[in-house]
Amino acid sequence: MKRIVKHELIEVVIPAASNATRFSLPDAQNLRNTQIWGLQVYYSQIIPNSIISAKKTITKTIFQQSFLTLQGYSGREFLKQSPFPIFQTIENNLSQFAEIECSEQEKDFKNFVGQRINYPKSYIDTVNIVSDPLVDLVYLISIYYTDNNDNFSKETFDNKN
Amino acid sequence: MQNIIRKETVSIHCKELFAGVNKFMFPDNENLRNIKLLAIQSYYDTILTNGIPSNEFTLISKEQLQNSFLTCYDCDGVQFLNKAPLIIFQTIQINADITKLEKNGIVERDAKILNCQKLDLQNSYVEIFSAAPARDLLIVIDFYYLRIDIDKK
Repeated sequence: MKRIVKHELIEVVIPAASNATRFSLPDAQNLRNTQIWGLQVYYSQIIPNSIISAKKTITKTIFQQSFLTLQGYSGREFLKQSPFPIFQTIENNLSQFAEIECSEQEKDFKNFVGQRINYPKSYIDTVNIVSDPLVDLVYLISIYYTDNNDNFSKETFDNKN
Repeated sequence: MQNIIRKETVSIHCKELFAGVNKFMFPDNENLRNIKLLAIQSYYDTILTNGIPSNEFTLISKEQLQNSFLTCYDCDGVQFLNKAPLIIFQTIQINADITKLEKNGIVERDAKILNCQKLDLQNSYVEIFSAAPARDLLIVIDFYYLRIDIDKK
């Protein structure tokens, strides 16, 4: 498992009845000029509600129609329209009998190599209009990062046992 | 798998859950003062059937775990875990087999590793978003750690 140095939870709101198909990531103060080492995304079957706004997280259908683009401070989009499912690493599968519930467990989040992301310039694209007519929905994203104040060793984030 | 040096199981008794966001601070634990944090593991009622130290309260359900978020501070006041979903620290598999639930095995993978942060447990907390009120629930979390003063290496 990769190490966690710092974690930040961000949410991207899909306003109710919105016609937009592109949603920018928020400018989180803790994430300015930081290096990203891992990213994890969620949908309603994994985490039903956001703790930040108490809004409902996106459905699995919206999840499958979403694509993430990350831009660095150099202006380069180093992650271009990456499908959301590749960043979902928590297992919550049904058994063969739907009434018998399976456990939900984490595997290991997708890792990066310390890129510095310009979050307000990064965004999520969707294939269709995905808003709910009545309620706001949110994308919930975990960012694993380090900043200049961390005194950890500059080794990789693999398990060194 | 990572090495276990020291491990402490911490229970937070949630006397009352109101509809909405509830915040519960960690109790002061003598063993978890002056430590470096190595790993964290969370549980829910399907994984662990009873709470500790008494059986009086039930563990949070899978749905409640999905709505729980952990925030941890280090001794310098730095918030190194900000609203981390507790589900990311649940690494024990107990999937149903195709015949009977009782026959399936429980398998641990490996606890989520931290980076030797100097945990300030008393300022850390768990937030739970609850759709409906509830009472007397238990949040059980394992901390894998080493003592700064005793475990030199």
